[in-house]
Amino acid sequence: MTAIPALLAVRRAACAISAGPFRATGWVVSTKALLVTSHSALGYHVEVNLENEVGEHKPGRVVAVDVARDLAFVLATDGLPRHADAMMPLQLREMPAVKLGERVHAVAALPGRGLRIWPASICSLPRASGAPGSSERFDTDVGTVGPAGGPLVDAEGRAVAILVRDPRQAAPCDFRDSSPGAFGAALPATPGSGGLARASLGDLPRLHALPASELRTALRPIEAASDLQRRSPVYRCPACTAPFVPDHDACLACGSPLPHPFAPEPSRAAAERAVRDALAAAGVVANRVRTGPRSWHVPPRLAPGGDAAPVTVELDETGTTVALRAPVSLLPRGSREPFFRLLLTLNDQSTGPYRLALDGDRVVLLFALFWSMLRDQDLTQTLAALGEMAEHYRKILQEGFDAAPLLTMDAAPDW
Amino acid sequence: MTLEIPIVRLPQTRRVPALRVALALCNSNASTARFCLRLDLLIVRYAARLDLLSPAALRRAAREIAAHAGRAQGLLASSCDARPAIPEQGVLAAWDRLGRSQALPALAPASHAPPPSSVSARPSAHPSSRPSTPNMMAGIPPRPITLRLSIPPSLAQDADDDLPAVLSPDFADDGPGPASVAPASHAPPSYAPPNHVTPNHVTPTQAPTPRAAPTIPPPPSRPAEPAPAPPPRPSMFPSALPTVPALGLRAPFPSTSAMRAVVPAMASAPSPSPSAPASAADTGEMAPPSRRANRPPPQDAATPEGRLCELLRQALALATALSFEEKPHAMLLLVRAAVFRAVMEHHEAVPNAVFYLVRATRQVTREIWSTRPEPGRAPPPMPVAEPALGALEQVVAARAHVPKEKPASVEPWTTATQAKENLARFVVEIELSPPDPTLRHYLALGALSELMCRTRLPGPTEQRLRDIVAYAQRDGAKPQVIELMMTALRKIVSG
Repeated sequence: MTAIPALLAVRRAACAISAGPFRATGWVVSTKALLVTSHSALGYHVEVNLENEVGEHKPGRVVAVDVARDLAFVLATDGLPRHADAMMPLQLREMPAVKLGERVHAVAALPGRGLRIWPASICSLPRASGAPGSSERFDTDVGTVGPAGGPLVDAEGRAVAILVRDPRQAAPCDFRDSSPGAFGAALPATPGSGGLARASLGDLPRLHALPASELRTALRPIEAASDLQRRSPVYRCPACTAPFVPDHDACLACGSPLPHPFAPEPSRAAAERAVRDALAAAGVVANRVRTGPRSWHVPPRLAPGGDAAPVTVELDETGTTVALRAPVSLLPRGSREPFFRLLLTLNDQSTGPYRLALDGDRVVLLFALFWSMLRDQDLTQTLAALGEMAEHYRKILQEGFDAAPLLTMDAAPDW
Repeated sequence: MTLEIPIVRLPQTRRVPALRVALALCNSNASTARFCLRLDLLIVRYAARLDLLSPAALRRAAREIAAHAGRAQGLLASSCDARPAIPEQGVLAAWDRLGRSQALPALAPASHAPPPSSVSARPSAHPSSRPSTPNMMAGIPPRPITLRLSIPPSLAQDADDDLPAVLSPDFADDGPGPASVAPASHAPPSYAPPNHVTPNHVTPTQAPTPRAAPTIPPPPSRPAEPAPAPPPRPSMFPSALPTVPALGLRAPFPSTSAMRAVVPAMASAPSPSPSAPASAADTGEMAPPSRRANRPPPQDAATPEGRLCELLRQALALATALSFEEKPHAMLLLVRAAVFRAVMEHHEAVPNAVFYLVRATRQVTREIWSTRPEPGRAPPPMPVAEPALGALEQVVAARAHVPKEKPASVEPWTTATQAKENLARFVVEIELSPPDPTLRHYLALGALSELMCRTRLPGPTEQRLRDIVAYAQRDGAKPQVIELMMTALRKIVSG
């Protein structure tokens, strides 16, 4: 139930989309089980998970991406999640155009926590930046409501816009000249593994509202396609429309910087390069697994004799230290002193180059080193050793203290 | 290459928050150093292979760990009331401020070997000296688990046995063998006659004579047979693990051989040949050279100052173990025993240190606080043992070289009744203390020492007590030795 009956349509259309540590808000835009969301919120993931308001999950796949508009279209390959009512497309309002001061509602879906609907006012009219490939955007006056990709709906429950990032703003925005929350309606996907928590507000990209007319333009050819089940996304440079692969930072055709969800930070360029090279040597594309301004999420690898667990790579704020982090276990119940003593004593004797630490209520295994020493590391071997040792201590802590094993560093962001 | 900085000692009352803060600080991305625990000492440590460290990186690491240590110390002191590990700024710190590391071979991944190009946290460690155990978890008992039981002694022993022989000489200085410090040759101190206070002597002023000389069983004329191993019990005392220090506890001695030197009769530990150098199996740990350097040189244990320091070190180690069991009465009794043992055994050779100890611990030794207060009588306010323990630490840090002190006198027990009452309270408290042989041996020796310091006994009785003390010092914490001392004390009390 909602106080505004028109918003019932929003509840039947919106759902949460997750892919690894990435979170986005999606909503149904077509009767072909097609959802739209923010491309930057999902990163370069293709296989995603859909979760509706009551927690039902369905698989999905990204079938098309419009990098210039920061749109990703997701096909519910196994049908849409269901509740009492079937999910229905949200009606798009292209005309009349939005007006300054018009009251709308920003919508975000949080995995496991349902929808969040926030009243907002339109504070700028749609306008293109004038750069090649740019599309119209406008702003609202709300602050953070949740993962990007959600719709802006009017009082009658029609979508007037989708909350996306401006791909021209690849570099982190500067909040010094404007107050936080005065422009965007939502922050993008969670960087995961603490990346968001450790990121300052200035590190996060700025969001805008993409009008429904722009969305309709991008949607039309995809709706018309007959081979949606077999389609794969093609990423195109916003400036010259040449295809690109996520490995590159700049378009090979026109040289423009590519709008990855998290752009390189010049002050940490050397450290980021070291991380990128080390990950590449391990067969991981850094831009694909980047989850925050300073964090990368290396997907789980099969560990011998144990469960696979992901490893996160993080740079510190000054860009001098790289930390590799693997989940171990949750804090056990009961007396903590023997447990803490054991962890600290293990740090002295048994953890080798790694160390055990507490990340909130989670025990993690950490390997921190200066980025300059990363060049001498065989990251494949280090990741394997880290995973093996994490599995070893996972068993010890479970058998000794009944500490629940932890296999993921993903945590619901505290929006 | 290892950089280590002692940060704080764990507080008595806010240990869990302090431990949690340390673990949370370990999670910082900005620091390459880690927090470690050695008994109650928190240290921050950075370790890396030297060949991977450029001079710039080494300089950065040194600066980083220093800044990290400073911040952490401030945080822990302000939020958890933790005592700084080095309380006096600007004072040259001794190496033993870094504590002793504990060996946890059973909890290290069996097949884990640092990658060839990775940093090594323990350059001098021997990751491959221990063969890979197929199922190392098999040796760990199922829950509920105690810290001590989580290290199967058999595994620990295996790990030590596998040390390459070439490493053994490195540990030869871990501590002298049992013959290096010969308790049998320890001469009982001679005391000045009653009512005669000399400037350099701690002397009873009015030593009374008990009404009747009790009958005390004579000590055996030769060392007793090795005693059977004490039964397992839920204790955190080091003696519960003969070869491996208890997890969460610092080994009170650099090695078991050094422990044997002070407590010759380690209950179940086989004694090596006195002439043989201490092997790695005796060390119980693989300490880096920086930490080995803090051990006293071999001749130190032969000097009076060295013996006094060992006596006090043993008390400090036992006190730390007691702090985990929340036994404040036993802690005060331990300080008392340490002081009177120091008075009896070392007041002639190291007078200034003994005077300092007597004076600094007077608040703690003025009374024996009972664990079970008398019914109908409010228990008197009990002091904390921390200041007295700090005094013990200072004497150890100064290696008993204390500046000239004014002579301190020990208040005598003026009547036999008073002596018996006090001794009875002492005996009761010993019986209520944790059943650790090392602790009870120490306390019983302290009780006998106090009796001899504060009373003038009949000649035969005093001689017999001296024989018992000498025998107890020679044979160590064997059950029959402890029983002999306790029997003697009880007979004096009932006598």
